[in-house]
Amino acid sequence: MYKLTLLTLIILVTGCMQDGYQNVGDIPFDASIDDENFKVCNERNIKQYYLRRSSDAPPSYRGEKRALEQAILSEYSFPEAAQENGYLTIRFIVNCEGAPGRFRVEEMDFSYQPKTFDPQITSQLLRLVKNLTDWVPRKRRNTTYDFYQYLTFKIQKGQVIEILP
Amino acid sequence: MRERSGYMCAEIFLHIALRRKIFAHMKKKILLLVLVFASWHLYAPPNCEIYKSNTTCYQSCQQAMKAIRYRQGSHQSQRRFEKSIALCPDFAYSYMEKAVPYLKRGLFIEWKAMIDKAVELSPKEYLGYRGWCRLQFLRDYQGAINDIQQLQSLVHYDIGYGQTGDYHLNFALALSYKGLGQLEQARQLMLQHLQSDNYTEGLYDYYHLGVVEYELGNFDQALHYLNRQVEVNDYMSDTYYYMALCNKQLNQREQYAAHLEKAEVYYRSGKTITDNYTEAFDKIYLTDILNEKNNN
Repeated sequence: MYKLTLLTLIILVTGCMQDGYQNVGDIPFDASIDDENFKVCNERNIKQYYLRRSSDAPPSYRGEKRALEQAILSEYSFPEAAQENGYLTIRFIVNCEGAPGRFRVEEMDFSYQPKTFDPQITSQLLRLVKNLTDWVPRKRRNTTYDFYQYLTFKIQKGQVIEILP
Repeated sequence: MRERSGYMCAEIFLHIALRRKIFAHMKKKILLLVLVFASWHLYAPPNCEIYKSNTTCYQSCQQAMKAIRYRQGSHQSQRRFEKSIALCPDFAYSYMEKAVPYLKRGLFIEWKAMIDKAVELSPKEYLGYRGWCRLQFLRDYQGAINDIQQLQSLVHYDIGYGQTGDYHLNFALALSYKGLGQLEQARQLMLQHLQSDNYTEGLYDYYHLGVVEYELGNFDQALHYLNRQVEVNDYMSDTYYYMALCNKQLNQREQYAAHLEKAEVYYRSGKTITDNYTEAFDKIYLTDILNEKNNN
């Protein structure tokens, strides 16, 4: 029985490690860019923000979208620039204590092609998203869980015109 | 589409589980749900048997069927879609399904490359879907308009509903024009859709038409449609909020206060327009209601 259990465990573990292939959107820790003080509560159970049981309290932001918009838009500042158009997406993890970390940035133009925004835009939005500390984690039966979240900024002429999703 | 296990099923489930109170009072909405289920075949996995004459595409289809047994976006699922595509590079379904988790998780460059391939291979099947996703996830209004109008020009049958089942694609087209600020065009398209043959009331159609009328400054007409919305679906704080704004413009102080109060009560009890993935269109938040209250 012991050998069978051990064999099963080995198969499961090696199966999960095959080729280093991850699930879509996973954000593993990267020592070169991530804050080592940011801890997730369960590395193996970080759910997407939209996945939950109907009985779970959904993840959210205190004050809802309006508070999030206020936190970003009241601080964001960039002069009008005709060439700065597209979407800037920041993906990250919110841990079970509501703290965000492991930020990843994807930038594209309105044709969905990769582009690079002015570094002032990118660094500013990244800083503002890192400062969003009012996240409320997913909750099930008095236990809170880590979750993946993303914010997409629709940018026109250097100005943030919509915050998604 | 892969949404059968994720997106579509979740939406249907939410309709049933979270809104069962309204369905108890809304026979028409039950009919809508039935119609959404009736159109299930549009989103269902393909029947692999039709590919039997082509061995590799038949195997490709079978790989895709294996892929959808795994959790969406998991490496097990994605690898099988890759095998499916390798076997039959013209199998559009696998491109579309492989793309879905990228869309939901904010990896839009990757999503677009894959969904474009699906559309290229099977435009009639996936143009409407891509257009809807561009509208819902990216508020890419012009992109959604281009896709939906291209689909309209390609087919002579009903182009069907957006992926959530809440909006007909004709109505999604109107919402896209609204997003571009072309309110009159949006209004015309909404009315055209409402007057079309076989029109089935959408869950939020009258609400959005009411909002467009309000934004155009047609407050009496806006109230008319918002009242229709209450008849169809009295489950939304948002409707009462806009009713209050119309009352304010028409100097109807008592109705204004009553509707704003009702908007707050409804909101606090969870009766509000929602979407599991993205912000709902014309969504109102508690802050909006309280600010309105405090400023008047």
